[in-house]
Amino acid sequence: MNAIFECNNLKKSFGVNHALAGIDLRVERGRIIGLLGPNGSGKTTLIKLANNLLTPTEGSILIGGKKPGVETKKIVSYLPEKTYLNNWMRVHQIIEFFADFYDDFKPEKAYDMLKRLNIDHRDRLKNLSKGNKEKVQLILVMSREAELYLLDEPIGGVDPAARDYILETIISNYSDNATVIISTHLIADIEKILDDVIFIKEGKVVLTSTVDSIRDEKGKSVDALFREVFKC
Amino acid sequence: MLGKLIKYEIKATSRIFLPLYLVLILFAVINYFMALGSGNFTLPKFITLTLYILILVGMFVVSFIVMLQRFYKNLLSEEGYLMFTLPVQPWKHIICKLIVSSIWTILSVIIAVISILIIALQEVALTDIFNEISKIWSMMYQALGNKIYLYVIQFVTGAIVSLATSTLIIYAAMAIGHLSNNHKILASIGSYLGLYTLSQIVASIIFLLPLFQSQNTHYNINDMNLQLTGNQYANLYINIMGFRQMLPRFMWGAIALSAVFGAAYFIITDQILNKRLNLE
Repeated sequence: MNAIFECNNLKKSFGVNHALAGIDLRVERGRIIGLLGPNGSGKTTLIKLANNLLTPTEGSILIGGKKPGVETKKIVSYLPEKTYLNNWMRVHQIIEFFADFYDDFKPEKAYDMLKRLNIDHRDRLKNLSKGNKEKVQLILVMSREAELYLLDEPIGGVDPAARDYILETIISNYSDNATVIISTHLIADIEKILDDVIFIKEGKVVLTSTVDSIRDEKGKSVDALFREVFKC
Repeated sequence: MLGKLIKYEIKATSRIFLPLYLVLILFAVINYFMALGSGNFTLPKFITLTLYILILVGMFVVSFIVMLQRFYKNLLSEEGYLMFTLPVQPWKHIICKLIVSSIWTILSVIIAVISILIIALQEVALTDIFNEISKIWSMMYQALGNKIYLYVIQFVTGAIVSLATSTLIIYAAMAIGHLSNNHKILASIGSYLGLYTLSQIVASIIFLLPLFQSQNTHYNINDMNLQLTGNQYANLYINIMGFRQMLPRFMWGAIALSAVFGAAYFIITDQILNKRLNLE
């Protein structure tokens, strides 16, 4: 089976600034991967390239063997770091919106999660608190039965109690065949759910490894290793 | 997918336009009843008429602002993260925005005409208005014959094409402006002025070139200053008649050129949204 996510010498520059300086990666199906790196390391750029929100300067990026486009958008569920909710819909309307555009969206899953997180589906999106907006976005993303989930800072703005539920949601909502890539710097919180990690620094991959081998061979937690690799 | 996009675009914008239309019609009706009261022009009448005119003008200002804002906010700002990750080709977003904004502009014109008719009812009966319109129509029909249909088709086509082109130039300007990292709005205004000037220059060249060439073959401007003999008068008359014959062709040419410009603006916008998207 082909890799779900593949980069070959992927480069992206913004003028003189090289956000990605030649990324080579191959991510298999059925994994939960932490894309870890300090601020400005190129995590968001990589994820935006995978969603066709940016075009590579050089090299290639493939999702399930295809270049990012309409076909890959059908199988990728993306959580941006930005709040993209408009100010005129109610929660249930954006659920209908997602159901309209994505064939793999399961509204009943979304309503179930809303209930668990105490969000009223009749509320207006603009009246939600910042944390609740992030929760709604994550619910929308996790209610799809996608092949690849790209989550950019999924837990940054929510409280620790909700964090646990969200992580649990991520693990319980993806099928065995699906891959989840989570970009974050809150490593300690998500470490326990990760299979693999990718360390990225100044637009380059500095380490790819399974979490088990970091623990077994190096005898360290991912968090400790991260602090070592990215020491300022 | 285009149908679904249009559905949501109408939902997003109708909550602004429908109440506005309602208020405009309401004020037209109020003006109608105010006039029925007394014959004199009183202060309350002045106030309601002023308010009506302000709402009428406001409606077109709002149409314009919504056209700008829906494209900029929904596609080029944070909401773009949602719109551009939908499994939809970017050109469909442009077409969707163009269609829906054009629908509202046309509807605004229709609503404005209806509201004016309501106010006019205090002076004349509705049947009088329709009588006048049919009189004008039959006068024009006498003068132009069957060609009048051609003129009507031409007028409608021209209006729709120029509406689309003047919207697309603004979309293209915003798309170009959005490439700038720091001053997106300023860059958009600059791009608009640049595109507009460039288009005017190109249009002038295309339209003036044949005119210069024809100067030699037809009549010379200098002839006008000479004593015109009977024969020359006849020539001039033929030229004027020729121009009248030429007019529809000239108009179709102008419409076609406008459509070509519109297509160019569309391609510019589409290329940027496809390859150079630069969401904050």
